[in-house]
Amino acid sequence: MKAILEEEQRLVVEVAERMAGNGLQNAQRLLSGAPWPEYPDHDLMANWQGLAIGEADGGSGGRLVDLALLIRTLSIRLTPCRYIDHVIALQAAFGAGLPIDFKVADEGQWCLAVAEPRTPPFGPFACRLSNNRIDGTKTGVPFGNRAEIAIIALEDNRIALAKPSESILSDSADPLAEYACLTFNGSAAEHVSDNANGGLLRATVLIAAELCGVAQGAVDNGSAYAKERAQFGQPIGSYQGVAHQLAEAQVATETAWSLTLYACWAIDSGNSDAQKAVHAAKAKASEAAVFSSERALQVHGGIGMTWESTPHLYLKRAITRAAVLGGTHWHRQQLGSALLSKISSVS
Amino acid sequence: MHFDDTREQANFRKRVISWLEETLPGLRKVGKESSEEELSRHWQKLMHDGGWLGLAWPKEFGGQGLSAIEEAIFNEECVRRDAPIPINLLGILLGGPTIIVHGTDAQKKRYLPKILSADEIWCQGFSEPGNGSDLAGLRTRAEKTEGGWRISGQKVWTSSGHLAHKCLLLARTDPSASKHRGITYFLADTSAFDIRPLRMINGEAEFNEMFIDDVFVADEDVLGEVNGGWQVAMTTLTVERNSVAFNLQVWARQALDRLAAEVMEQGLADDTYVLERLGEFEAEVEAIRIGTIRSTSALSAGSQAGVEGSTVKLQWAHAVQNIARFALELGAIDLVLAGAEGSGYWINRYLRARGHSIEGGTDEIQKSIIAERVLGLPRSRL
Repeated sequence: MKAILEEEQRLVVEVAERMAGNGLQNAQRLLSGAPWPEYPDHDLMANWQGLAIGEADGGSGGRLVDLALLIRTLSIRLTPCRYIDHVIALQAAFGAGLPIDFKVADEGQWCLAVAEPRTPPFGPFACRLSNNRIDGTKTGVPFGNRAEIAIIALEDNRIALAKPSESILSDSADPLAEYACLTFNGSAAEHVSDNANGGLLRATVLIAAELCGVAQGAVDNGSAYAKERAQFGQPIGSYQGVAHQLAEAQVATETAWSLTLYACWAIDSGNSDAQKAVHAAKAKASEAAVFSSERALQVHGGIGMTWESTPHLYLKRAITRAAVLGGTHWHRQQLGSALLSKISSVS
Repeated sequence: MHFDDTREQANFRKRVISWLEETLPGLRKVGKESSEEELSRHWQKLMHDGGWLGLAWPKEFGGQGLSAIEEAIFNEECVRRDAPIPINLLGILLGGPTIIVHGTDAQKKRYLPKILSADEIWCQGFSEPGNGSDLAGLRTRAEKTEGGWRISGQKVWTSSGHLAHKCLLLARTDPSASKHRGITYFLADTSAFDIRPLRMINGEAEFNEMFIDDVFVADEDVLGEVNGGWQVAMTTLTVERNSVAFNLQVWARQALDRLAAEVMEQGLADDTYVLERLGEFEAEVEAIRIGTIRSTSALSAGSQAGVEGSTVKLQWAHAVQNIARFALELGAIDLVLAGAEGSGYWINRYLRARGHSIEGGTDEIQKSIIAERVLGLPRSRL
């Protein structure tokens, strides 16, 4: 065991902290109608999209945990960026063994299209592949409205790379993100892999990493306010009723982050635990992000209910991302089933 | 970042496992005819003779000079195989490590080898009837006398008190100083203490109360500075929260696996609510294991023990309490009828687990520690 950050991983965090720098201000500006900020997306797309993809496959090397650290750090400040969803689509392609043309990836946004209306998170899917053509509809696709390339989950553990025929922007609860409904009308499947699971595991754990950042950011946001806001002549953070809520949120956040780090490692090292570890990470990270943002809002009191305040931005990101690639309920059940099959195979 | 054993750690684990598998069956045969206490005594002797005690202690005082990781591996494999607890658990877990940090060379020479050999068994005299969470308010008094101190007061919740020769004892030496500054840490002899067992809600007697009436402790048995006992006590408490973590995670795992078996026996394996709860517990128990690997790795890489112990303790108490409660909620009547054949486990586990959020610092104290030291919130207590 040597479960500590290595030198290059600390460097990733440092760089990411610099890029995340005024993320929250950017977020607020975006809310008041400013155009989508170019920074840090521009730098991220130029320098970091090949992270955790082997050099032989055209990437820049590094491990999945490096990318998880980068995504978590950006998310602590809700830094508006399309990079996270772009890179998650690349990782899904990479994990599934689909070839990635980085020249194409440099040119425009990629997206990962999995969910379908009123269908369990990972199928059965109605989207069909026949004669190498894809027909059907995918919903809740992050930045699908801007995407040139979609990685599409299909039946029988298949996943394909194709261009969507049409996209309709959905009304997203998260004002800092865009979700779209994508239609494929006989779109040509440029590549098809029959290892969708390999790609979806990587994508799911990265969503968990993002939720860990959201959870930590919410705790930090609530704590900062609790130090500065005074009532009855004292900072409210000195009251246990306030302080303990934030401590509970911190414990939940730490729980989720441990599970996420382990799941990244388990995937990278081909550990047989990987599937289980990803269920645990996604379930707890969703729970922690929602719980922590709710606590941050509560600690803010009435101000927390206003549009200009920060807690609702965390809460909306948490609630939305918790529903991407399998809700908490679904991941917990999978994990429960995995435990029972382990126990029955032993006895 | 690596969660599996390095090659050296894997080799060490192999040696541990082969020693345990050689030694434990013989011990279990002895165990059939002896009490739990004799078994613990015998087990510590075997560990000591085999060179498995004080793995992370310096060699010059009888330790093995390895790191917290080897100690964690050894403990993990022991708990996995349901090995007994060594008779001098508190000396090994708390007394030794505190003396290593704060003791003089003479104290280290005098005490450490006898902790490992169990020639001197230790208990911890911190909590008092009037002062539990508010430890610094303790009222046991020590008055200066020729060559030492005379101590009077009362302590409570003392595990192993009835077996102990020695006590990690906190007493107030300067009543005029502010409450954290007037405390001294003594290494006291318990032969003159009046020690009485306390019966717990599950019927067992794990801990005691101790009455101390004008007991002499010599100057050379002050650990750290006179009136500097609070800092020394903080070392003991930090060690307590961190060193037991590897055992905690295995205990939680054992309880959960047993719950899963119970679920199948009761034919509830397809119940989606039950599956969801099992999944929740599985994630929590895994998080304790992984969190412990992270903090032990950090410790052996040279970090100071921090508040990680508080996080793990909260997670563990919460997980084990919920697992035990859920087992009872499954609703089989024989689970709550302690004494019916093979059924005492869950009711006993449930009742005992209520103490997990109280002992070793209550949930409320752990949350305050996290609020202050991790989140930087203002101190809420004086």
